[in-house]
Amino acid sequence: MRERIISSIGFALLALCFVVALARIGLKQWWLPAVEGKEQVTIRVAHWQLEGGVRDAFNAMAEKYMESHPHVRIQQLPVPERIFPNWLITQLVGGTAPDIIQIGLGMTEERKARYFLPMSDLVDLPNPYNAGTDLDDVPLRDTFFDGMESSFSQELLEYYGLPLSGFTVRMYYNLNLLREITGGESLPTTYEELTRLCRQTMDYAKRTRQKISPIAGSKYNAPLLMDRLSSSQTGDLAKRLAYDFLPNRPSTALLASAFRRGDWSLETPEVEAAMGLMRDLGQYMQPGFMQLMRDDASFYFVQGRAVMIASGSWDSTSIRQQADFPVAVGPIPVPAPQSDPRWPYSQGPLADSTVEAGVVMAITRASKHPEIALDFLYFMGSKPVNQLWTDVSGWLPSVVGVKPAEQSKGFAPFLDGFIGGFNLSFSGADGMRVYRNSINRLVSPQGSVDDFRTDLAKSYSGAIAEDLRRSSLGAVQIAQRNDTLLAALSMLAASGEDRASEKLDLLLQSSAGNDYGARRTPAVWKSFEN
Amino acid sequence: MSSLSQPVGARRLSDWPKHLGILLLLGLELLPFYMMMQISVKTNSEFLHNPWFPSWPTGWHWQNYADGLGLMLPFVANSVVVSVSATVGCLFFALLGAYFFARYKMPFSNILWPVFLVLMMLPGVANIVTLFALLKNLQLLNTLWALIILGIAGGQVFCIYVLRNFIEDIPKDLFEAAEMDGATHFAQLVNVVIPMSGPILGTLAILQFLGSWNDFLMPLIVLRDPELFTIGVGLIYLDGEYVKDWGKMMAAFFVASVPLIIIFLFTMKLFVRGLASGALKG
Amino acid sequence: MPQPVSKRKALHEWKLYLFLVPALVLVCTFSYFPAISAIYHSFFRWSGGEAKEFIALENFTRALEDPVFWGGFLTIGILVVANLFKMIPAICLAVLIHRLRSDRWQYWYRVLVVLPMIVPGLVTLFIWKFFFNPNLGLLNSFLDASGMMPVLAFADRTLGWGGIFQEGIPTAWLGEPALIIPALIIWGFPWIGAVGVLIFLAGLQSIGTEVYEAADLDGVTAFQKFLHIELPLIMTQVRLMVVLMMIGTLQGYGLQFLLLGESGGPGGAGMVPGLWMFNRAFFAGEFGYACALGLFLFVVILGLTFINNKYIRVDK
Repeated sequence: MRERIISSIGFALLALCFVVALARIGLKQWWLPAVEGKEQVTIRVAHWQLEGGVRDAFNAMAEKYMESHPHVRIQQLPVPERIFPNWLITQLVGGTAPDIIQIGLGMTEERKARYFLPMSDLVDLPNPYNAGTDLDDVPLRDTFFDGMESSFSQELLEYYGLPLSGFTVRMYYNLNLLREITGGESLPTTYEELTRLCRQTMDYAKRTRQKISPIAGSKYNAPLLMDRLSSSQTGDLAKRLAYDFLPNRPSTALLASAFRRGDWSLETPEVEAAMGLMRDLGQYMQPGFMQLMRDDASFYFVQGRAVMIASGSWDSTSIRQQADFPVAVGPIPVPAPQSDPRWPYSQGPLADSTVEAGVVMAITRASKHPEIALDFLYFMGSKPVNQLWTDVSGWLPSVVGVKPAEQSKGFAPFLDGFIGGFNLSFSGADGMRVYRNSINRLVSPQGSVDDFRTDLAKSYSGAIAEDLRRSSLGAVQIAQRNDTLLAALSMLAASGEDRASEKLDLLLQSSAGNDYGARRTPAVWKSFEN
Repeated sequence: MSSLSQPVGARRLSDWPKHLGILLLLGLELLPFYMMMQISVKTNSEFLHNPWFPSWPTGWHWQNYADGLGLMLPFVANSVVVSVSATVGCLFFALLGAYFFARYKMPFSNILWPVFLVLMMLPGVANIVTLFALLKNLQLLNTLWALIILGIAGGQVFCIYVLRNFIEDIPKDLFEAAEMDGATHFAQLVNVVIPMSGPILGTLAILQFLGSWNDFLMPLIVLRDPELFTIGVGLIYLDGEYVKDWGKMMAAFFVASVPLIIIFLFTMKLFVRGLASGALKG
Repeated sequence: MPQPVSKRKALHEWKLYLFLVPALVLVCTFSYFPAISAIYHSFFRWSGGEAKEFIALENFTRALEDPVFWGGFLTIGILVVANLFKMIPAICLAVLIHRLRSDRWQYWYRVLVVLPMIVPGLVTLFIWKFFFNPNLGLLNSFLDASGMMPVLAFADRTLGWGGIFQEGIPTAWLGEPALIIPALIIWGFPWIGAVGVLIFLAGLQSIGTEVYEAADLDGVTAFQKFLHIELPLIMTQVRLMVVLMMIGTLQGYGLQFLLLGESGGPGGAGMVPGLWMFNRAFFAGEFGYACALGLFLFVVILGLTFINNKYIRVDK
């Protein structure tokens, strides 16, 4: 009998939960929309930036928009990076895609063409929300610091979406630890000062018997540092080999074929210097770092177990939120010319040549209200709102003339410096894979440059060949597609279509390798001046 | 089937090693649960200093539970709706189907029965791909209905199989008596079958409920709106955060377990008994 | 047995067919139709929408040459064997409980065995993922605290495992390709599932006490009792569990997806055929190819099930 009472109570409880839950769903799905009225429009915006500050920034922008547009409800859909590509496909194929989606992860040119609305017609017209600012009447394209290069699809010759932010890479410092170790708060400005700080940290750790590493590394953070170091030594080499200089980096294909031809190898002095330099700094990262993930390294840093961590401006708010010590940010120094005979190939300070605009938000074809979505997109890409974005998220802005937030001042890009060269994982997926498999020998205490070189040499050439083969296949396919496009556009242009002749010009220019983007990066010219 | 005609005291002694062994195994199995509970009241730094043992009750961080509840409660609510609906629906239709097969040997039932039986052997691995396309065509994507219907359909085969065996064993005279009283088949089902099948229905219900509760692949593919997320999807999203406050996450895990705890507390015996009897038949 | 029924009565009872209709409709729409559709679409290049391009057997030839797919079978083979061994603790527990003298204790232990099920499988999985965390995870803390780390490091050096285990370096269980399969095997320790234990217990119930008395008289040891009395009599249950386990493991990929992500983790070490199929459809957008992969998997599992049924028969 008692058993039945207990069971009945259980079932009653379950039934109660069920009714409550059902009521809640019913309320949200049917009752509220009916009450709010027929004109209510919901615009959904999806992205994968779960870092600190970003969701708040999107909410702030949404709220501001909703103030002046009461019939529109903006809903943010943050999706974790790891499942974003999966999510993207199910949404696009399933036809349930949100109105605005961030472009990047899981995106192919084909998907852009099929599922997204191009904005090419609008890039020469001003942004209506810029009226009354100093960007009034400025074409949309020129209101962004990269000229909307990040939205442009080379293959499709169309613009998709607007960028909201920019990214640079810096070194973060734990000011408390820094003070304890050096007695001061000044950040290293030269490479020597950096390594000195690392040695001081190791001494300090030994003295006080604490487990503190100089630099927190991971398979994600370490390359940010090491690639930069490697670039500092290979700048001249790249200029000699990869003479067809695309805007911000040496041509992968030319470097790869130069390797296969034997023009450079793992024994080339510049490459050897790069490896030595990487080992020099790599030994200061915590043991076993190459197996760790990005959040492991951040965790290490914010728990006070490392003095420094290299990361992008995208981590700035996250790290500051988690750390209970003051965080300072400084550039990553590379060896100055003639400062150390072990790395004689330094050209000088490196520019932030890879300042890319990011968080590109584009409108999907599946959107039921593309005009409203476009309006919100314009809104987000306007100067006053981009200012709001940078203030709330702590990330860099994308609109020209917007002042970065106080805490992100350290991330403002320097364009004054050398482009730098390449790193050993330049060639593609296979090159990256064999590089990663061997990198332990370079940076672990028992390893050495020779060890690394011997191990890498076993599969490096094959990997480069494979990457080269794959990318030339891709290039051939693009060229084939462009051939059709060229033919079609020529015919259209001949028959008087003026959009067609515009596109034709663009296509011919890019096919001839004209680096139209170069005018935006003075750093390129500085490299060539020497 | 264990007591022998021996003095109890003498035998008890030799049982100690067995008890020890059992308790050890069970304890290890419950380790995740223990960890979940003791971490859920700590902050990250507290956890770092003391990972294994619970902290003092006075220092317990109840805020984690407030946050966890806020995070998980909507997902729990959705899961409750989906799982309960799927379970009830599944059992209802399965009872009907099993009754059909068990009551009379109707014409064509020897063709129709294999239709169900075969599905038990068929691994529906590739189905997920075309199921997605099907749901899209039925406009069921991004709804909870899709999950409920799939839950019902998925459970039919197993439940009908088990229930058919069970109903066949019910003495025919009970049915005939009811029929003579003028009861329709449906009434027979309700009045004869259901009262007798408490344990088996309970077991099936729990298995179905658990299956639906733990499902995450279909919800992940089907759902887009966060307000519809079930527990599976919610936990995956939680796992994708960069900044992980483990105390909060463990508290959220606990919240995700609470409905199950409630169910098991009240229906434990039913389940244990049901599995024992049902399994003998399998 | 259901009562046989005359044609006339059957016609009179036609409404009974309506009882079956919902179940039939559901099963045909959501189980049979997708299966047939999958077979159909595996002959096409299909990205999930309306457009599809007939390419006949191209998907199948590509699948036959796909190293990732067949490599996945190797991985899953290892997991199946491991899972076979992982059934042992459940059997042991069932035997231990069964051999208790007190009925009350047996009952209570039965209840306790079910207790771990209150934590949903998903949560257990995430907690284990947390255990595998290199910095915070309990597995590494345990290895350090119990002194097993130096032993593993020593084994690493002497057996040439390539520096996976080193003292002072947190082992990345889910980050090191060589450790992924061990991680997939270790997870869920001590591997006692309530359902399994209860089913074995039910099987053991049927063993009468006279058998034990006879064994005692013959002076049989505890272990021999197990081998000769208990094991043969629960073979049907064991066989049932083995079949269920094999089918489940072979087609399962949820575990790998959650722990390792959609590419099977670093180096693809944890890629299994089901996951590769899921990956091709929902990450690469190649739905047609995924259907073909699924079909291969289906055939393999079906084949193994037949073999299992035919050759691993146990007579009572």
